[in-house]
Amino acid sequence: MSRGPVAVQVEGICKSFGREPALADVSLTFTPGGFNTLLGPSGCGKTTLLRSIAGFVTPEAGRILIGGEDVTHQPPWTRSIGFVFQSYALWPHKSVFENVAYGLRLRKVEGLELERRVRALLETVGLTSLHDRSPGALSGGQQQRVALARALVLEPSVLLLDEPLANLDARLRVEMRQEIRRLQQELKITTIFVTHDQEEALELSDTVAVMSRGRVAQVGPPEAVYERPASPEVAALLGGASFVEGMVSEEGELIVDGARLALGLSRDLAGKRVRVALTARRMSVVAD
Amino acid sequence: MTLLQRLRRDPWLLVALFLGVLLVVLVVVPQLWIVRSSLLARDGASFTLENFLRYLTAARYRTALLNSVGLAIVTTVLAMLVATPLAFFHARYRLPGRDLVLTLATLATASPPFLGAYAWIMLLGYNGLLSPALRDIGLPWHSIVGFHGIVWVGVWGAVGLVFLFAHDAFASLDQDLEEAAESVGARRARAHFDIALPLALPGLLTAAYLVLTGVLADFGTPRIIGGPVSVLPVLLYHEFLSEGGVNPGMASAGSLISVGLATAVLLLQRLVLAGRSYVMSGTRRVAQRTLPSWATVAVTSATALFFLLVFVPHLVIAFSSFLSWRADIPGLPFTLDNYRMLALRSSAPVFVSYALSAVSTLVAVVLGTLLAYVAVRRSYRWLSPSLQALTMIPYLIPGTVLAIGLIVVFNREPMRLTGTWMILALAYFIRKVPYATKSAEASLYQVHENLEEAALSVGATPAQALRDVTARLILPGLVSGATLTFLMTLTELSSTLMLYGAATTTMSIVIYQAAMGMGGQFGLAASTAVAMMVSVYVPLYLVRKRFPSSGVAA
Repeated sequence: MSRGPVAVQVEGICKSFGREPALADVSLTFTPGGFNTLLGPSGCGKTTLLRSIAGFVTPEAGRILIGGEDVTHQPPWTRSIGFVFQSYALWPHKSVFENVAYGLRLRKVEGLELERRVRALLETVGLTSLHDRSPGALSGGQQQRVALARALVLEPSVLLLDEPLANLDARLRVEMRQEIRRLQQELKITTIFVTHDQEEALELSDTVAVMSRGRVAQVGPPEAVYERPASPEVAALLGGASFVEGMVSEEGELIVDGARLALGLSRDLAGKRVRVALTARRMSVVAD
Repeated sequence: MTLLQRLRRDPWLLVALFLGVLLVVLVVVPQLWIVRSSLLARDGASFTLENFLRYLTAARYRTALLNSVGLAIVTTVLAMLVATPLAFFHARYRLPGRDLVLTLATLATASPPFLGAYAWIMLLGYNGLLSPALRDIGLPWHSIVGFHGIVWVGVWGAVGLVFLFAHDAFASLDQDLEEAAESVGARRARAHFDIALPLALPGLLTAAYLVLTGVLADFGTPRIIGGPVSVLPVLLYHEFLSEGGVNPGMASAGSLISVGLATAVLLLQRLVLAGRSYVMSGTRRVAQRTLPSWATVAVTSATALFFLLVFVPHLVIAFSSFLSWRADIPGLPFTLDNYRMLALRSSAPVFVSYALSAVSTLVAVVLGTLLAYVAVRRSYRWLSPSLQALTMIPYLIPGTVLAIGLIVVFNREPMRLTGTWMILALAYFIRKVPYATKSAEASLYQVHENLEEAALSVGATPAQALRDVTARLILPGLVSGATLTFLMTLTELSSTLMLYGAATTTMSIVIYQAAMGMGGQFGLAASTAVAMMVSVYVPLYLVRKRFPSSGVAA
């Protein structure tokens, strides 16, 4: 891309469906050229936020900026976005080639130029030989690649991915995860990725925004979010956490029912009652 | 956001507003005129409820009202009793000719509604082909004309539809449910009765509802075979159009009573069905069992008799189209004269019917698809539900009433349309737009919204996305829906009769006039009826072969 990576910002976005608020005053800045993940349980508003950035959903309040330009009231077809759906949403009446070519055709790209650009993208995603197949004849992973090629062929400013791996089996999911990361790093395109799978978020992301009940609970690099959850809520959302309540000793130990756990807590907390989240990922059992 | 911004962002809003205005003008305004006229006193200045009261007090009106209700109930009950058991056996037991049976039942649902009356009079009217023979062997047979005739023709006209619905209801039950009953000690017949019947009830009730409202709104059959028996649609026709004693106020009040009856039956059906829609947990379709051979023979014979009676009208009419007619007396030798006449001198009604049906179907399918789209894909808080309600209103309006409304509104400057082809096309369009919309809705539900959003995300405008993605994917469903709409308009009689002019005489009018003993073109009417049957059954058969799952009965 010639323009260089583009920043995406949302400012004070609100959206409700019926009485339920889906997004309650959400503000976020997505790193240009970075892999940004929206992580949260189903119903937390992450997909609604993604669809607002795409323009499928119009927020009731707030602004959406892509590359500094206010696109809040622009329809999706004038925004420079690529969108990958959880169901892939490949058009069953068009071949693989035509699925990828459609956006270019709408922009009057034809002939050799069209051929060249579609083929280049199919090559990037590793599907050159399947261009005349119909989507129904492809495996889930192949469909996923076509969906990626279709989203990227127009060289959009932002790539939006809505749980793209959810419909794949475990082995393919890991493979596609790496594939998506590779593509993203090659193209240096600002990417926003929606998932409820913390392992995906951890492996792929430059930045993770944890969402819960229509709000952003915490933002940061994945390690930071995992190591230092900002609230018990975030710790619980990240899963696998057990909570232990107790008093902090002068030595930074946690005293639970008289037992002392050497957790290396900050001594500033000495004498206070605290709740400690223990995550399975960081714990090991050792022989005494 | 300003309205202009909203419209740019969502051009569908404009489409929805346009459709709303169109439906208000074509559907609501005529009905409001009818309301006004029904309330207007004879002096034309003050308002009164007198017209409605006379439907309860004056014998002429009360009788028609009671006849209508009585006929609808008797016909529905008999049709259900005849067709349901047969459908049950075909759904649950392995019987010969399953495909043929279902095809015949489908064809029966599309039978031109007034052909039955016409044919049964030819057979069993006072001078019918069989009546003298019946009297010769000593039966006290008079004629089929009368209340019993309307019931007889109505039942055999309705059983095809009941059969299809009941078959579907019984065939889609989960086999485990009945086996569970047997496992706790219910005998097989008992399990059928206690488990299968209640679970199939929603489907059966829907069929009963369709028959009931169909009979209530039917004009052709009671008019042709009812003789002196008056029913509401026929009464309305006379009140509004006949040369002596035209009474628009009473016609309007009766129209509203008809619409009210249809609405009441609809609400009743909703009420009864509420809480009865069961979600079947299993996906194991019932396996068909085998009957003992004597029972197989019995059921197969009953089925043969059933379809013979259903298709008697078609056979009689086809047969009579090859006879030589002198005035209203058919005789030998067999001849092709009737067809020669149809082809050489009297083909205009065929063309008129085809042209009117084609135009109105096209408009109904295009607008119905847009209406379905706004209903399924756009969730405007007020507009979407309002449009859905508006679309279904014509469904409750009998053809006669619809025609009265159109005449009242469009028989004045600047829109003097009565007698033109426009008003017929308009009537057909309004009558069929609910069906076209429902059929398009069903197709749209099959196409995931993401497919269209994917097009928007690569830069397609909503119009381009509709054209390149959604329209392409729902096309097969639309074609099948359009064919059925076309067939239904091709056989329309009740509103046609009130709205046609000399230049817009349709096939149904030609047949109706012969059935009423007018015009004396009996041979021609028979060949026209055969032309109509071919026009209906050939496309229907092709559609059913191509799209086996299409909702023919809708």
